[in-house]
Amino acid sequence: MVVDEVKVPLRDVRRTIKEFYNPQEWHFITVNGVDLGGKVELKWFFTRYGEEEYFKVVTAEASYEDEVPTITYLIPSAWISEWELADLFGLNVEGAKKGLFLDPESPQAPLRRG
Amino acid sequence: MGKRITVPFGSQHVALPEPVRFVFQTENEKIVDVEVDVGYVHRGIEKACATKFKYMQVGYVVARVCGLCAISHTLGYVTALERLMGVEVPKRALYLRLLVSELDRIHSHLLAMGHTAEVAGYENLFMQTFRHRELVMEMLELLTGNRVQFDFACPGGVNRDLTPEVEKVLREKLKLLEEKALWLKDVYENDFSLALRWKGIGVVTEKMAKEMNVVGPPARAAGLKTDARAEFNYLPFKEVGYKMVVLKGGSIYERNLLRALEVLNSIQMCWNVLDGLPEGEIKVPVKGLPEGEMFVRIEAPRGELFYYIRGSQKLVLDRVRIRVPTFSNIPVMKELFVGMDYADVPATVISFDPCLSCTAR
Amino acid sequence: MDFKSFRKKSPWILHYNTGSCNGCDIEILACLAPKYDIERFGALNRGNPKQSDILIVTGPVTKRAKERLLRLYLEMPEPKVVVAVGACACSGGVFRHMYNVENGVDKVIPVDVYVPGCAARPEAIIDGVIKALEILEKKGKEVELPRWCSVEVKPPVNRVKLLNRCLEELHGRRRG
Ligand code: SF4
Repeated sequence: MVVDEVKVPLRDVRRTIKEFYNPQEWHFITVNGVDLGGKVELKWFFTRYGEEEYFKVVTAEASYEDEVPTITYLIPSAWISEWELADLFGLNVEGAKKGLFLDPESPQAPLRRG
Repeated sequence: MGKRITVPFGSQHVALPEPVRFVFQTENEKIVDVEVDVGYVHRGIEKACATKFKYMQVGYVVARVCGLCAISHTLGYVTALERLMGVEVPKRALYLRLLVSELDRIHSHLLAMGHTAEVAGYENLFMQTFRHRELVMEMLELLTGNRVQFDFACPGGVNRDLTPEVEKVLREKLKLLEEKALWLKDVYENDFSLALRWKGIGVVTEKMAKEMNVVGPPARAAGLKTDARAEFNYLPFKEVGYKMVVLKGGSIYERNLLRALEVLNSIQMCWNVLDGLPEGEIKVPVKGLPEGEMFVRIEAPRGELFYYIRGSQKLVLDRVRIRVPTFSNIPVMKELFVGMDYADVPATVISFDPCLSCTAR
Repeated sequence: MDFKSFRKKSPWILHYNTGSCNGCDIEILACLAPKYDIERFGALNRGNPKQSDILIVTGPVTKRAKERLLRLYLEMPEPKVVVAVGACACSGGVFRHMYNVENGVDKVIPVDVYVPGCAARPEAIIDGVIKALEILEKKGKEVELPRWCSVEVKPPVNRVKLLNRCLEELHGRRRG
């Protein structure tokens, strides 16, 4: 398995993705968050069509208050993953609406630790 | 221009097996705007996997994410765990997993095909498809002990071995199934009225598929060559004669035809597995505690399934992330509906074979 | 005229998924298909609550599905029976105590027949439906309300008002 991982500051995420992303070649898998206590580690996963066991990962860290940049300008289908992030981690994602999964009466930001 | 009319579709609807809710804004017959609500079945499995259950148990919990592709979820999780912990799985176990995963794909595809037929008003074909699907269910029951939710794969191998008696029956049933599947493919390919109803409806073009990151049968029916079975080496698919099926067109008709063709390919793979099943152990013990992170891609019946796990030397994992195929197909569905006739909506939704309990988890 | 005996011969089924894994749902579908064929008993699956006699519920009832479930239940005419299919509809199953579920159908609406199993086998589901028919025969026209609900009903019942009052109470409990 080949993993090509780049670590960037949060505000550079969109630029980094824009530099290499091309819909003909790349497949966007998802954006994933892991709670590290006080901040969330975000990972954008990509893979290339036709290539075996290859991943490209863009990693960034965001605190609970940071505004996470959206990549829906580049990848229109990314909205659903971003909304999920906003819902389950309670992050402030650009342009995301809350309430994709959670109801007002369910616990908010359930995937945060502690 | 007519007045705008709001038409809700779901969460409980005659044509829908799943609780999803679309709210369409229509102008005369055309849809001009759509909203989708997928959260009806959100249960919080990801959280529970990272707090309540030990890492050896999580495989059985994630199987309950979806009953139709239960083996895919377990497979995704155990593959990730095995890679993380460096477990060498015996050959025989891998082949048995492959057998069950292909049988599972057959039954899921037949279900999707039957459903689309029913929504097109072809109840007879629905019944026929379901009748032949029962053959697969019987095979799965013989092999694993349960019809759905079989909990077959476990970390380090599989839970049940294939005995010679069962193998004999399996061969008989597989032969019968092959005949029936050929007949079904013929119907789905050549039936005049079905083709009239489905050809050119709900078209996903290749460009659209690439831009919207479509996965699974809808993508392959649009001519996009993507299949995690070819792109990720989690089971020995190449050794048992896996062939990628790709069609051009991308309408409902192609999606169903593609499913029928994949069923045939899967049956072929099952024959090859039964013929060349290696001898040996079916399970190795898994010891130690998981540390680090791992991600895998699996081809579930509906498309690419992505698992991310992360552990830190504890019995309970830190994070389990499940990205299911329907989740990434929802955006394209939403895009597709705008400009479509309302009458075509049920068939289009079902032809994507949406699995909402996967999506919301 | 006495409709009781006719009702038993052609019960219509309404099926609602409140967050199950689809395992039990496909088994219910399998019941409708040729091998098990629940139509032998005159049962048809229709998606219309106002014409149905039996409500089959699968799944542990998520927070968002709760209101819909109550709505469907109250829209069905009396007499009606509720069958909870699957371990998770009976008690929550694996999903018990997850943050977004209610631990079983009987927390929201009254349940008459419980069909256990994960997934419940088609034979068991058919058996459950037959049991439900026996109960249906005994039931009269009185309105049954959920246990938590304190709304009083006096005939003649205004269904719209009843539905609204029950929903209000549900929302009130949510806030309170
Ligand atoms: S009882 Fe089991 S198979 Fe049935 S819906 Fe619940 S988890 Fe799925």
